[in-house]
Amino acid sequence: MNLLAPLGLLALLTLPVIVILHMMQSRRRRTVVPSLLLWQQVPLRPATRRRRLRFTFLLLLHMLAALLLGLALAQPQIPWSWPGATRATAIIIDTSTSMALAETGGSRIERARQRAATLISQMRGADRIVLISAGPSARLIDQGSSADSARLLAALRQITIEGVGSDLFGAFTIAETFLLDQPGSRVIWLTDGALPPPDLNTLRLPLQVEVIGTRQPNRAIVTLAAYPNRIGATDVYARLVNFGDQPFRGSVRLLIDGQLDRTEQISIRPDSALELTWTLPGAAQQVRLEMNGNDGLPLDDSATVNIAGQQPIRALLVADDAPALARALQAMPEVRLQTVTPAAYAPASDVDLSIFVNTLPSRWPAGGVLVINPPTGGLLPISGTTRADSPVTLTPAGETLLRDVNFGGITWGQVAVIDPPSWLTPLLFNGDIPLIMRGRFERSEVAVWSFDLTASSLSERLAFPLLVARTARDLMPPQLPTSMTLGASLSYRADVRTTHVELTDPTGTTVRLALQPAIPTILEPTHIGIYQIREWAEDQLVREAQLPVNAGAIDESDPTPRFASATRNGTLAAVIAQPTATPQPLWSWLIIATIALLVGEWLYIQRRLQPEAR
Amino acid sequence: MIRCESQWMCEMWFATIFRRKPATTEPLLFDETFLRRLERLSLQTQRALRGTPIAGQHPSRQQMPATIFTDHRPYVHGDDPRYLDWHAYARQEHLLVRLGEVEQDVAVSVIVDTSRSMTVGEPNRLRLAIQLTGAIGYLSLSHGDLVTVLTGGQLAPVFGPARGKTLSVALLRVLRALTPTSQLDLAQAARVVARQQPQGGVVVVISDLLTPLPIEELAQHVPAPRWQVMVLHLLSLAELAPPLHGPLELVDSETGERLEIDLTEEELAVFRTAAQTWRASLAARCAARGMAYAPIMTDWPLERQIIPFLRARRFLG
Repeated sequence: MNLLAPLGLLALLTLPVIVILHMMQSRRRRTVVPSLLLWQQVPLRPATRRRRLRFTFLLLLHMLAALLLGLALAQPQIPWSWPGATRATAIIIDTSTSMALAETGGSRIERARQRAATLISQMRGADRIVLISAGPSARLIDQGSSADSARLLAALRQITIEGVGSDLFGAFTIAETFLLDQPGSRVIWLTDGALPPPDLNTLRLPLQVEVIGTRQPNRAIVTLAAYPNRIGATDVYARLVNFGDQPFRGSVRLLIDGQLDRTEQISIRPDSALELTWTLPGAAQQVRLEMNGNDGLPLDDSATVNIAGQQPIRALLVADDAPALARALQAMPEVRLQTVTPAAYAPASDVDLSIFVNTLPSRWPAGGVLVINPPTGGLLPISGTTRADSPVTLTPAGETLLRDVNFGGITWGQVAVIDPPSWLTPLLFNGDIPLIMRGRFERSEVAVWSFDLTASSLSERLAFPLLVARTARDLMPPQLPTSMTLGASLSYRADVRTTHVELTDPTGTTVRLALQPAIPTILEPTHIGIYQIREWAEDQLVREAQLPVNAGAIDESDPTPRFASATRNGTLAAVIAQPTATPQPLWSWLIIATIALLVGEWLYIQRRLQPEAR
Repeated sequence: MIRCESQWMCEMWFATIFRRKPATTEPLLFDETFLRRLERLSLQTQRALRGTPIAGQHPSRQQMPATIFTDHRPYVHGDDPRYLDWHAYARQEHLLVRLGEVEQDVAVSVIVDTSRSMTVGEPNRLRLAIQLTGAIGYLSLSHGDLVTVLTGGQLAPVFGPARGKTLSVALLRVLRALTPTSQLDLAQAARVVARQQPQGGVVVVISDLLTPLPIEELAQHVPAPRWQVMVLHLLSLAELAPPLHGPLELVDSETGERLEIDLTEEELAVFRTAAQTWRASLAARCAARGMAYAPIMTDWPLERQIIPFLRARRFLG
């Protein structure tokens, strides 16, 4: 017997209270006699004043009623079912990648769906089913009673593999949300057991674990990485694993930008890994590795990765003469620099970063904007110039961008005194004069340096190119990851100019996502392959990128069940699968028994009162 | 009235829902055949009682001219010549009138105890007292006696003085309407009887005698031989040998007085002895003052046991 609320047993403290009350209330039995005439003639002993508990039937009834109520408050459950009792069942289906493994009788996910369909078809009367998928994040699929069987079966067919990981506790939380107050509730977890045994102590509902699948071999590419090296070549690293008790001999194919580069024979010992490296001549954009795994889980037999690198930055330097700055920008490999004089400046849509030295535009251009030594008047509130020689102070907001940049010993010369507007945040102070500011205005990422590069010694210091590079990259959107694992989520921050994003999955389905400036959106790939991402500023393409999504992961590629079917109370690894009954709540029956006791007490009292009434 | 064991028990909502209501119709006191059989009985009265000659059926010591004679007296002017003893005249040459005993009626006064103590216990003592009163009153009315019924709680008689069998229906109706009252004042009732019937008669006291009974004062108001007093003592078996045990709080049904006792077998034995002593004392005190005393158990059937018992004790003839 389980107690869902053991604290309810505190109500049993009423038992001694009842005993005390009975001792206090234990008066002499009052008996009406015709007259005391004769009784007064009897030499009676003085009545004892000491109260003594009399074990009466009434006391027994009171104690029983309090005992039953206390037990009811503890919400006991018995491990067997009442005949014909209503059941509420939460079916949690593991949708992690390993459930895609094909075995005899279909894939594991398919067998889980069949088992769930059987449970749905077994519903009777007011039985309820809650369908939950436990993928990388738990989701409520649907819920309903036996009348909703068709809808539940349709929802069941839509359940597919969701990726790496199984948010079991999230699934349990959803199940408890729906079932905790339901009588005869239970949780059935359909999984392949290819994950570490979870800690189920916090689960308050009875759990029935049904492990689907047996030990199967699997070969997988769990890691693939590619980086350009210093000599312009590309280094590729791959880690292949063989989860099985037999050695694996096969081949791998390496494709560079969609073209087959090479095929190699490999051999992996049982339950071990093989690490491969290649150095590819020349630059490349994308690398794909395919393995002839010959196993039941082909999803993790291939992987694709983008070559790690920076997104090109089209920079426009608007200055009469800023050689140090131009050199610093040209030192950044991703920067494509173009220089114009302030008089020749005209806003252009194909510029990612606009840099204004000793000048200001009439309005902030879209995209990244770096303003150096802005003149009085115009877009910034400048009250004049002053000399700044005292040590600089880094604000908390500047820690991220300017950390580790050495500003010691720099003479700043005459600096513009800017009263920062609300959208501009100072990052570096000289006294109370802001030297570096950062902010966002409409669709412009703006950085302001209030000092003059020609009057300052900054351009002669090592900190200058570092400051330029960090500022330029901070004004640009972050780089996409080279690849993602299926089921992972990506906080995607688009270019500030972007109004909407088109996301095309490997099946060709395109989704349009409307964006607010500089507010990231969450991308959750649901398919394995290459996702196409296009950022649009109204009708103009701002950026286009590819995002490979792979299935291979060290946690998912080992499909071996690590525990067996079990009930909640048993050790998962030790208990063999067996049909388990749903524990039934007893509190309602205890309440009924208490009411029956009270009725019996009333009858008893009436029976005692009748002779006295006569 | 339902008495609760404790206050909270009385306040329990369900304790009052199905409370038993008193029966609206009570069974009849007697059936017709019993009354018919009752007519064959009569009160055994003493000859010393004074009643109206000729009117009743009770023997008396008064002598009057009669055909069946036991004595003579000299003829006086106005005597009925039919009762002259001509044989005596032939022998003695004196006119003598034959004198014989005549029957008379008596005044029967029934003092019935209607105090609350009569309602405690099972079977109901008050009902038995009413039945006895009805039986005595009915047979007295049937024999032409003057019947008066008094209760302890009222100064005036609840019935009578009345004579005649036709009034028996009214008597029974009055008796059925009797309800429990306060304590019985026996002396007061005796005073009323003595004032209404100065010539004397029969006084029947029906009571549980659970009040300090002034036997002596009763004898003073209705003294023998002018008065013939019959005491019918209604006794309950539960009263003589109460089925009680353990710690008790005894409540007097009339005064509400309470007594806390721890009742053991020893004290119960003492109580039973005291009850027997009390009963014997009552019988002795009644006998010492010329009163007839008859203990009647309440569980005795009226016709099959009480009436034969009263006949055996010469209350009825």
